[in-house]
Amino acid sequence: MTKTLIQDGVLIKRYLEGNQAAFETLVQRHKMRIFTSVLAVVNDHYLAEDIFQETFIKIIKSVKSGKYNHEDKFLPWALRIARNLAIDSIRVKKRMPNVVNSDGYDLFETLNIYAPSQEDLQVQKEETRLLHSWINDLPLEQREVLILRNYADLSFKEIAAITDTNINTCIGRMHYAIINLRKMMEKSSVKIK
Amino acid sequence: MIKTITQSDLICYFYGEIDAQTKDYIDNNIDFNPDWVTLLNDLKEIKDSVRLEAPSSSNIQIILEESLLEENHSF
Repeated sequence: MTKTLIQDGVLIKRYLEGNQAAFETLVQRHKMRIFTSVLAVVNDHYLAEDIFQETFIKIIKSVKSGKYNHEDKFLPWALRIARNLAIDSIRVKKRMPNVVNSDGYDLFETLNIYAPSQEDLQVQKEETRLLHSWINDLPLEQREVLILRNYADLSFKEIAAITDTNINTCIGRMHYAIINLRKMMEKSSVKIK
Repeated sequence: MIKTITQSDLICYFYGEIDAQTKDYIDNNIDFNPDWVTLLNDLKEIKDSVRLEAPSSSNIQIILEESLLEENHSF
């Protein structure tokens, strides 16, 4: 028997009627896509946690104040909020000086609060790790389209709406992302598969 | 009929966002176009590498507590 998912719009309606479990379902359903998309933009696990939390607080306030009118387009709407917060945080971060220790290392980088465990590192395949590091090196616009299409599973039309561009621009960015990844691969003289 | 297939067409094909006519054309001609296969393989490789990450459970807890606050309630 196939289990039918309750649509996002229904969950929001139930939450507004006082059903807390409905909101929890919504968070659990979308947390990974939203978090990964934020992480792709800011490239900083610690900051991504903050933005993720801020995103949901904004969502709660919008929903409660009756501003949510996107029916079952919850994810694109939530991703737009998350993206705007992430872009803002990058702007702020660029204006902030790095805190550097006497050896010239960025203290926050040195602390490496969210470094993956040794076990995690062993589990990660080297090929995937390399590809991810190359994806992180892509220009933001290209990285964003690649992540939103592959990770958040949004259509190019939805990505265009979120990023205030058009479909052709999004597809073009995806194309350049592939070209750049190929170049990085050749440059590192490592062939994946 | 010979149809010009662009890289954008192939990207849309891969993600299932192409019109039926172009999809059929690509399906029927892919064996004669190794450069198409290369691009599609690159896209597949990226998609296969997808590893979604989760926020911390303490963060989720804070959000859920926030969602319960009376000040956020409109009812």
